[in-house]
Amino acid sequence: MMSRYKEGAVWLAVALIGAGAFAVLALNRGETISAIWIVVAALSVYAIAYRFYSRYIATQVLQLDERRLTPAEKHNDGLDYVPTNRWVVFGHHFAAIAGAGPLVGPVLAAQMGFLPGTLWILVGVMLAGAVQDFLVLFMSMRRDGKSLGEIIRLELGPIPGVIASLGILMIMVILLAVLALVVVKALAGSPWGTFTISATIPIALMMGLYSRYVRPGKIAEVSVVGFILLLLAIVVGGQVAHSAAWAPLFTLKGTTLAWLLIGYGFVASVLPVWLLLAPRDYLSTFLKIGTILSLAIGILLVSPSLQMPAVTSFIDGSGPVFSGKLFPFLFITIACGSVSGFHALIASGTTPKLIENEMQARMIGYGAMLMESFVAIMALIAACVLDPGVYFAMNSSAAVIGHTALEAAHTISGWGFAVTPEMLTQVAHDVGETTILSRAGGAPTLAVGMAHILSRVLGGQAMMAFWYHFAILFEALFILTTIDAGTRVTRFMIQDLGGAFYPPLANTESWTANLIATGLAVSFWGYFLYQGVIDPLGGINTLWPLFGIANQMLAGIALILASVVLIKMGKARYAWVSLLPTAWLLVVTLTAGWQKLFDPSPKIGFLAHAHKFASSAANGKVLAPAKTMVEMQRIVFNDYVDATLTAMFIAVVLAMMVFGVSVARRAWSLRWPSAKEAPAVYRTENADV
Amino acid sequence: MFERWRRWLRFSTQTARLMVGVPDYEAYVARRRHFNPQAAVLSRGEFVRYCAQQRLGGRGPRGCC
Repeated sequence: MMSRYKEGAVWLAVALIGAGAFAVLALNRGETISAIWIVVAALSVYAIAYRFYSRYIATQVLQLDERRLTPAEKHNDGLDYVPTNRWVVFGHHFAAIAGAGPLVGPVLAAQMGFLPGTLWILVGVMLAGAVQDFLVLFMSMRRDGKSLGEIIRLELGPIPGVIASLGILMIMVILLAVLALVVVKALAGSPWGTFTISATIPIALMMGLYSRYVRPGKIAEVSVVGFILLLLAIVVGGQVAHSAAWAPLFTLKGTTLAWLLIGYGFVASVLPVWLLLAPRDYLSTFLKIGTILSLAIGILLVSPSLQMPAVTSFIDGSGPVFSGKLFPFLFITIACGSVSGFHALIASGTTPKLIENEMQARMIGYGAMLMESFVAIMALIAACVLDPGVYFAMNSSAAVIGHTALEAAHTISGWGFAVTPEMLTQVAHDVGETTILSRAGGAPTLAVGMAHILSRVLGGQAMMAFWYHFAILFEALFILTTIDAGTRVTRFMIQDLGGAFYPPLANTESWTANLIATGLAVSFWGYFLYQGVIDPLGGINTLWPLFGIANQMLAGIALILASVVLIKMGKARYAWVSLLPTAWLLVVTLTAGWQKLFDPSPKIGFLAHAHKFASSAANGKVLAPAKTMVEMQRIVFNDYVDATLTAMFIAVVLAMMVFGVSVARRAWSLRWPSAKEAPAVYRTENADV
Repeated sequence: MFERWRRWLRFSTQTARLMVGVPDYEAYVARRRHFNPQAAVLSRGEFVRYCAQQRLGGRGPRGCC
């Protein structure tokens, strides 16, 4: 009895500390406050959500059964299905879900101040993101580790299966385009960054050959060698940037970089996996985990103060980083970190084939997502510890703030964020760049923020440029890994879907079919990438909302599936657990999609933008940034492509909703559970399996 | 004390390897030879390559964000 009171008291204390931290964040106006308050608020929310809500889902809603054999136990082959210690699986799952998303979204959302983003990240992860990951992991675990697409086909039917696959394909294309754009934005006109990133290709190739022919299977060894070479590349990159002979060779325009990336994507994704992709994967995974850890330590040690106001005037939709009001655009800008549809693909990938006991799905599904959310919080902090003037200079397009530090400082100071041209050039100088203006896309901002924090732990001002380029390297490295692997995934999807209409395309043994499908995959994302690079508003402005809508739409689909499955399991009275986030995501994606299509402001609505350019072209007037009539027509055409894509996303969501409701209604009228789980097998003592 | 450190080290190595999609090789061999001590197994290099292909080859989803 006593211990129950004691436990209650502990949790009450956690809740009070959290509430106190929130009060500091929300009520403090005008003075700068320490970022530690955000960390404290986040940790207490995670603790309470994990202890109470995830336990409720595990024991009441899903009724996880510790005696029921998991796929890993049933099919144990030591290779694909391997019962594995839960901490090891947790690490694996976290490494799989943490990537570029939680780092970019919060940085962009910082334009509205630190508070809206923080609140959405915390509430979103607790009620939507972690719930989705947990439910999908559970569904896959009960179905021998089937993928999301397979579960949709199984539980909703073949037509929803095809629709969902089409949706996933579109998301992949937009995701690859937007990630490639982040790299282009970070490297354009930066010889240091361009050299370092180019150097990763020969380094990875060397590692690949080494692990193939010299010391097969020695992952740690080859990774350490690769890591040292990477650090060397950063150092040499600094020399290159200062060399009059070499610097021009690596100073590239955005369009050139886009073509290089497109070419890279094609070549890399047809090479054998072991040669380039696998070693790159080692480096990016370990670097990612290491950087996340050091950022966490850095924030705790330095406890930087937040320079960004809690809420800025840009919640009204007039912000330079992305257009649109707080509702719905904040909720699609921050996806990963609160709720990300992509995780539904990962939670139904390898993780369910590794879990050694059903009970552990809670810690792995719900818990790892909380940790991912914390990464998003750290990214938000890194963006908000920067001087807001610097933040806006980095994230606004040249069309808004002009091309020189003088113009930029003038415009941004006019918004109420005092900044001088000297400050802007000083920051650029500190991080070893010629300019930091209009480097949208999140990565450079995060890199400056990280350099700001980490240089105070190690190295001081002198090391700032090194830390900046380290952060750029770390992001570009795993984005290139994603482009390579993602192009392969897209290629197979094209072959699967296209094979239905033209069977020879589906033949993965045929080099012609493979090359055609790879070419299609690359040109799909390459098209959006190029369009983003030449976009006067910076591209991220257009592509990130599209990606956000797509990603949240996928989360919506996964949660619709989860709701239907809960109803089919005869657990309709618990279905609110997934219906609640489903409803929210549908409202958000449909509103955002609608506004992207039909909003009368050309800054938000694709059709309004197309109309503006088309009518101007009809009058024979060329609008900036177009220089010729042909370019005017191209802008109009691109707007229609974006509009069509948005309309397709909306159509996919609505179709899934209709199919979901109809299947749920049929299941509801039955008196027995109709979910198609793999037959339950129970663990017996001393069985030799 | 020493034993504890060794266990911890083995554990972190296992986690790090699984983060790049490679499960425990010894466990794989033990599993394959559980019923038949003469069962053919992949070599260490083949094992790692097989895992990389499974993880990155494009079949099956892969995380990006």
